[in-house]
Amino acid sequence: MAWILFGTFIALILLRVPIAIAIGTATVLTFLTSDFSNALQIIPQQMLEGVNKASLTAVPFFIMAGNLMNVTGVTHRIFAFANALVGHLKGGLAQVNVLSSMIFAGISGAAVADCAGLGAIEIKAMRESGYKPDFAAAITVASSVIGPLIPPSIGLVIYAFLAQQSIERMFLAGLIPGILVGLALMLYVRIRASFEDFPTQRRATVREVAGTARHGFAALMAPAIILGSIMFGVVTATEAGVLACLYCIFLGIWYRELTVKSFFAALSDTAMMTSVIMIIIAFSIAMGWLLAIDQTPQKLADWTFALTEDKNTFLALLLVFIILVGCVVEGVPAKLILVPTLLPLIDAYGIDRVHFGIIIQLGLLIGIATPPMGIGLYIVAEVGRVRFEKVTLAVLPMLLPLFAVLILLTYVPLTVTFLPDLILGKQ
Amino acid sequence: MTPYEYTPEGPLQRALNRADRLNWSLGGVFLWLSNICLLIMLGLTAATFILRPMGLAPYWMWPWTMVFFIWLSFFGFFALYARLKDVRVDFIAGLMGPIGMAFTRLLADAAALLVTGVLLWQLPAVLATSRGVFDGAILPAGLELPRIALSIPLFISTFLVALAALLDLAKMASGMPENVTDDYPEI
Amino acid sequence: ETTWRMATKMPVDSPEGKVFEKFADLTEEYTGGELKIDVYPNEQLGKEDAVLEQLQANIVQIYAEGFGYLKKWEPALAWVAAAFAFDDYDHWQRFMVSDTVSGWFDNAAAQSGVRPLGDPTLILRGPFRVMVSNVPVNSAADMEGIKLRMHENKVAIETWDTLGAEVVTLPWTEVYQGISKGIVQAVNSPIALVESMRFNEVAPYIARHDEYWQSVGFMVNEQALADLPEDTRAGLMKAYAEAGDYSKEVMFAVADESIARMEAAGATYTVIDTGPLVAKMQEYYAAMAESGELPEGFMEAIETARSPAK
Ligand code: NA
Ligand code: NA
Repeated sequence: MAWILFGTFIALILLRVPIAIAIGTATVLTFLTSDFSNALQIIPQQMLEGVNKASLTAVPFFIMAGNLMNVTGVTHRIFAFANALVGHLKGGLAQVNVLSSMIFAGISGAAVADCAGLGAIEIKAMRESGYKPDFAAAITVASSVIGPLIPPSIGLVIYAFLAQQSIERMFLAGLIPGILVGLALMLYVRIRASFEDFPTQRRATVREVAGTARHGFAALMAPAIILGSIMFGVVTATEAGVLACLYCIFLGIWYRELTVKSFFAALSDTAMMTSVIMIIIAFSIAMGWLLAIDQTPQKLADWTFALTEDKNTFLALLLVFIILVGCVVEGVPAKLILVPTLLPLIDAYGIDRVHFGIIIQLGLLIGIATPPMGIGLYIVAEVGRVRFEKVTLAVLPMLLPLFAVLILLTYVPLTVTFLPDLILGKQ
Repeated sequence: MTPYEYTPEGPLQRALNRADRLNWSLGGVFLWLSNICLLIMLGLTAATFILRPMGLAPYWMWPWTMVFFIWLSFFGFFALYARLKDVRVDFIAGLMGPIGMAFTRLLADAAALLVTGVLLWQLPAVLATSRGVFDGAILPAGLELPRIALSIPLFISTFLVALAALLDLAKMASGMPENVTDDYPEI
Repeated sequence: ETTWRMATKMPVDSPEGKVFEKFADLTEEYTGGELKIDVYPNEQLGKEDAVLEQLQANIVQIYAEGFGYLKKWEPALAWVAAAFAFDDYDHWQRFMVSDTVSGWFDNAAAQSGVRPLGDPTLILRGPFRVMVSNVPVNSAADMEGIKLRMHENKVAIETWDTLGAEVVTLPWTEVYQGISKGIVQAVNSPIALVESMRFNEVAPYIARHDEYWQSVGFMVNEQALADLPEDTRAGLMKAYAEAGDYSKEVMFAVADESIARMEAAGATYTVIDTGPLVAKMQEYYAAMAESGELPEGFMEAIETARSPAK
């Protein structure tokens, strides 16, 4: 049964079927070929179950915050601030590209807002100062992976709901890994810069740093508000998302860059992104019902356990598996199918659920930078006007630092669990 | 290319193009329905955390936020289909040339019809078994929102997606190109 | 040989989960392997409305949850766990098996084909309810003005309004944070969940107030039950009765252990005299009955059940 499901889904996606329709078709076909072909009313029923999830109401607002930053001039100011800080380093603008993404990540919950909004600014600046367009586009995609690791993160909200973990714990767990990915990419740029001739920029004057820092500080306040208000304030994750949106709107009015038109453009983008995610979730939950009633997760667990009982071997297999799935299936549906299926296995091997959450989050995120499902690649190819194939090639070596961090996180669980355990106490 | 940019030839194409324009505009209407739901969610949530410390937040605010979240998602289903906001991987179809594009166009329409067909077929069963109310979503009259109201936007969107897929098949048969946008995928 | 699917909300390793497992094992034993029960824990098959629809369609054969969810077919069943309407557990038990309540269950079954497996009070939930607070609560008077978390339910909110609390609605999963941030001071909970939700960490005062009595209803599909051979059905009922005894044993033992652990960690535990609360609520129920908001025969059934049948 699982094979019909995965097989149909992947085949349809590769054959230009819209992803929501593809997952719907896979679900319907699996139902029709199962013992439950006379119980199709389960599909609409479970679709409603899927979207009727309180914790997921945070999703639109973490998308919206990123979109709002892009239309309020906050993104430009983040870029200018990062440029004043690290623009003079070797491979300056490439370093700026990574650092901007780290700052942007503190407000935006999705990688696409980074690629599409911030990415456009970054690629333009890099091209103008003489970087190769494909390199500029590639580092933009690679660094967008940071966004959904550093809180807030839509992927982590969804994981928290699937694995019955608190959103705040998952958010705290993502912080260090996100910073590690950023540092790994900066190190990678630094190494390449030592034997490649990247354009250089002069060091910013103290005055310039101070001038941009004012705005940079305003942007850095947002993550403090979001995480701070969830941790120590008096709001739920959803309310924190709304707070972030209101703050972005405030900044947009303050900077006099937010227009009614751009506000509604950001609103429409948010509504559509949310709908895509939620319709995928709706069909996935129907599919998940079928997997649950067929007891597929337990069967898979038994089968895998027969294969190896060693935790480290299992983790290695898991990594390869997640990365392969991430290449062909987008992160949200991949998580919706994989997490409930794998959880019994994760528990059986004694792997911490928070730890697993970050592994699967980063593992699937890498998929946005790999063909054929690499959404990040499509976006930067579009906004940077580079050929898809060229970005794909240019991004390949940048996957190395990403894999390195993924392996580090997998085999040193402390990198993930230290911060949440410190602040929230051990579970 | 959107239906508004296409110049139809002959009466059949003109009729189909009119239907297509209607479909496109209706997609816009549903996009706006989604937008309105999102705005209400934003307003209700903001009001909740502003009013709560004062002890003024009425208990129906949260259930209604949930209702609008569900409607946002379900109205969006047709909007994202009609306005091509969903993710599509063109890469492999492109490698196969015009035949690949034609085949995948047929396949996508057929898949959409299968999914929507099954959903619509189940509508009577859903209507028959969906009982009770959505707890806390009170209406001005003091009653609570019936549970069935949650699913209705899903079925409306599903019906319209089915029509849109049929329309595209008709367009294909009469030699009209499929709608495309320059937008990047939205996830 | 038949296999039934049994849906629950609870994790396998929770006390209730253990009761369900025991029930499944006993059923297999007493039916000589003729009836096997697969338990689907953790809301795997969906939330209440969804599972009840699956129960109606005979996709699921047993749903182990509160009877209150049957209210969509018989609104009166929303009142089986009425707050502070009963003097003690026995009073409530007599009420639950009265002709009035049986009539409600029959009505729900007529519409949905779903009914309780046997005595609806057999499997205890909780096994009793407490108020957990960050200020001492030792009497009904201490509840006046307390900021109390409540779910979005009109009757529950009105009840605690009547009892003098300041009600704040909050999702269950936000309660821990809500108390630690001072949004609320107290929450009502089954004693079984206090420790697992870590409420005692932020609210060390635990007061047993028996707000209402709760059972886990074993709601079954009538057709599935009728399709069983007679001796298999007898085995199933025997397993149900024994699972009931086992649930009381397990639930109270778990509660006692949990209370001891929480006390050792600095919590205080008291049992409140509920007399004043029951008295206060009688006026509320009387007013409700007056305005026709209570189901027919509700007040009479409570009164009749007040003393044991002669
Ligand atoms: Na983020
Ligand atoms: Na970047």
